[in-house]
Amino acid sequence: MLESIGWAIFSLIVYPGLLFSFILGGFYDWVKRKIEARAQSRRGPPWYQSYADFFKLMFKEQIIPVTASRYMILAPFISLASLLLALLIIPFGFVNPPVSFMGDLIVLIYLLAVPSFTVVLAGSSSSSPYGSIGASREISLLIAEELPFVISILSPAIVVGSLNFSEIVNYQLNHTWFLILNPFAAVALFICLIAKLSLRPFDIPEAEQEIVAGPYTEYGGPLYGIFTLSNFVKWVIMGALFSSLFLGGGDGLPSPWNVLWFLVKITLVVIVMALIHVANARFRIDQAFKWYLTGILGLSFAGLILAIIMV
Amino acid sequence: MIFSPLTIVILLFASSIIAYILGKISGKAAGIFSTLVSLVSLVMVIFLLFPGGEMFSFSYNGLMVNSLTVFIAFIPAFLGFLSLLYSISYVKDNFAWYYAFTLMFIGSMIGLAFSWNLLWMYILLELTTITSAILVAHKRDEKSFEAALKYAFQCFFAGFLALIGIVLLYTQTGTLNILELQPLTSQIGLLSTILIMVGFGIKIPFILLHAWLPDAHAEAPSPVSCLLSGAMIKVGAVATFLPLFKFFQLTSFSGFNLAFCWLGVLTMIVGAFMALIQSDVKRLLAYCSVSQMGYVVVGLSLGTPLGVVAGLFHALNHAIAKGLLFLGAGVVEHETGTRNMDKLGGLAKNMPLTAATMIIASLGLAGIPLLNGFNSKWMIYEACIEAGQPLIAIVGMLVSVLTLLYLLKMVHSVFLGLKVSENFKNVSDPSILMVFPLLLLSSLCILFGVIPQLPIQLILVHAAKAFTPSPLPLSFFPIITEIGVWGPTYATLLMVLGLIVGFLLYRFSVKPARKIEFSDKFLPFTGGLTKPPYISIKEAKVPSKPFSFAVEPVSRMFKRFHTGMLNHYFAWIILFFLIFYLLFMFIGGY
Repeated sequence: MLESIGWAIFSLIVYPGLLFSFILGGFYDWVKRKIEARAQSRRGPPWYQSYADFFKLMFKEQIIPVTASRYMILAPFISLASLLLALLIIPFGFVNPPVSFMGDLIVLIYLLAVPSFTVVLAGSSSSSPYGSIGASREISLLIAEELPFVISILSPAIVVGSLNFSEIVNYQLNHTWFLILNPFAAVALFICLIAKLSLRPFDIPEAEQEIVAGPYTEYGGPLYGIFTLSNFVKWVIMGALFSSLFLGGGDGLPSPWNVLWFLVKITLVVIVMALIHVANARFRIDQAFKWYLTGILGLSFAGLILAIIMV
Repeated sequence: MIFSPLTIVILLFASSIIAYILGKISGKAAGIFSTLVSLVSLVMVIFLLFPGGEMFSFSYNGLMVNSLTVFIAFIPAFLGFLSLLYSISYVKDNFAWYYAFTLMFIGSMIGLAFSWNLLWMYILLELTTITSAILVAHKRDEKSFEAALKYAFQCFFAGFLALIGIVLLYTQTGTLNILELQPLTSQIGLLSTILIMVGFGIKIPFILLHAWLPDAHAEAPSPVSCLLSGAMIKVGAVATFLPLFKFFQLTSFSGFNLAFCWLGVLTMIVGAFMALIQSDVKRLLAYCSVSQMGYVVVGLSLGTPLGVVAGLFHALNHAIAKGLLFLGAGVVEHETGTRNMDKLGGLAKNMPLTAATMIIASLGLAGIPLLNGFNSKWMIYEACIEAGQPLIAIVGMLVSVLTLLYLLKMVHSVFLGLKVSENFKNVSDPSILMVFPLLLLSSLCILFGVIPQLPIQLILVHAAKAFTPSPLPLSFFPIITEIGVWGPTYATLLMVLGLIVGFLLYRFSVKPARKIEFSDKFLPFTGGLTKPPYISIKEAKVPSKPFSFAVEPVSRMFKRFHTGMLNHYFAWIILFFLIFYLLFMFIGGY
């Protein structure tokens, strides 16, 4: 028991937790920015820019509006901690997740809703009108994407008959990837993940042309740095979630290679997401709502029906 | 210690007379006396648990003492003590009536929890209705009289149906004891069971029978709302499902289970959508109760050991969190004089304790991991998927996001955001008597979130045996079901570690924080839809109703049916009866 706690703490702080996902997520953030720049015929930032931005933020002065409540300070930490916890549930290249007592999809679904909640808390406690509007957009978006997200994430679980992550990965070893078995659910989940990462066309809560930075408007300095850090972790989680549910995870390769293979898949997912990000214009919130609750919901229901047939 | 639970009921009813006389002389004295009496009743309920052991069940003339009844009786006794403590500084007039009837209300709920005979259940159900209806009319203005009358008429009407059902049942079987009830296969038998289901189910409430709830909960004094929502509907749920389990043999999954499950799903959906469009804090919380009882109905009607334990656990969690929220809403109303969310705002700085406890309870209900509601919801979802009903679990998760939405809307427009009115400058946390129940209940929210094994292992697993004979195999660390595993205690350790790591990062880098002035009025929680052109935030037109594009079409559809007219609500009750009569005739194949 002590050993497993020690292992859990190691995985929270070093691999695949804070340190590792900081490095990897910073890289992915740079990938996104570079692709965006190249698409706009700019040179784009150097490779260390995202890390440099993070460290710059951490050494800035912290400014808090007088009217803000103290929940404004709490929000980024809850976001970071819940994302780190969510990271432990995903089997990271190994067949068994580092913490075997939480390998459950429903827990993951709820843990991934917590960052949205912290964004709402951040926006509404910072007592800025932009923050309030951003917060209510964020939660509207959460409602829109949660139903297809849940359905498409549970479709593989229904086929496998287990909510355990590593069993879903193992199932794909013996059969094939769920991307091929159930493409509907895969596409639906992919589009929901874009909203979770608030990339275009779903970066509505922080639309900089309309509402400055939305919920983050009053943030700056270290608190915003923590939000940036948790955004890095989010990149890694979303990539890893899609790769292990629909792309077969590490594909059961021997030990170092499965991790590398897994990382290659995550990177590919991130690149595709970044390409979608640069190729699209932003939806209005009501358009996004309709889009999710018609097209994507239909897709995910098709995936669910397919899954039920496959059982 | 072995004594009849009737002693507790008689004690509470007898002391209500003393409370009445004391209340005529001094409100404080009556309050302190009633609080002490309810403390004694709480202790007596707990003592009933102690003779314990495996042989733990004994009955007295239609009253039963076993793990289930003690657990269910504990909820009104505990919340009754807390809300009477809170009442000492909350209630300002009509002391005699208030304390006398609150004691009787608590007594009748405890009696209902212990009753093991349909006739006892009927009598005590009607007693809870009478006593609480008088409490709902406490303010003695037009609105509260209307709410109380609506509440009383609907419950009496359904109660008479139940009485007809009980009489019919007695002529058929000759017994009213819960243990001796048998599944009924004849037409008349079905008729009597459905009549009983309508009459008792109005206290859960099932959908279509829920029309009394928002009015009664909103107009009652807050401690009474806490009892109505925290305790009475839980006691009613168990009283309804005990006979239903026998009538329809819910322990083996059949069409009846499925019908009850979807009834629960509809209850949670309608409650959630109606809660979204409320602007009165207590009405919002009342519809939230309807929605959350949907989860309890789903859990109980799955009929599997895990489902029943999960349903009972959710009932407990909801009792704690919703009791807290109603008491907190009472604090807000007491301090500011309004419950209208459009007029409130930014109170977190003035009343930090109330804000913190209410935020914890809201998140607990919405199912944020590591708080109590998540554990029971997780168990309900696992039970649904185990029973082969993933769609119910999916709808449950969606409703849980809607719960997060409307509770965050409440938190935002009451505690966060900018201060809308200057009148609330001098508002502050109330006296310790009013804050103590909030603190106690919120610490229970956290405790049951971190160590859910404590209530599950100590009492819920045994309590579930009254419904399903087969026990639930559960390991202590972590909770393992057939398809999933969740270790909240470890997860809490890791979460705290994550918070510490984040905070250390912040601490080592931060320079002394500076505060800046900031002033701009804005509409609370606008729904995020601004109309172009996006010139400035003051120019931007925002719809007055929050989230209009998102939920209003659905909410408006449901709202159209909530006309507020008593005769329509009677029609609902009859409609409910007809639907289920036909549906169960179809399922049962009579």
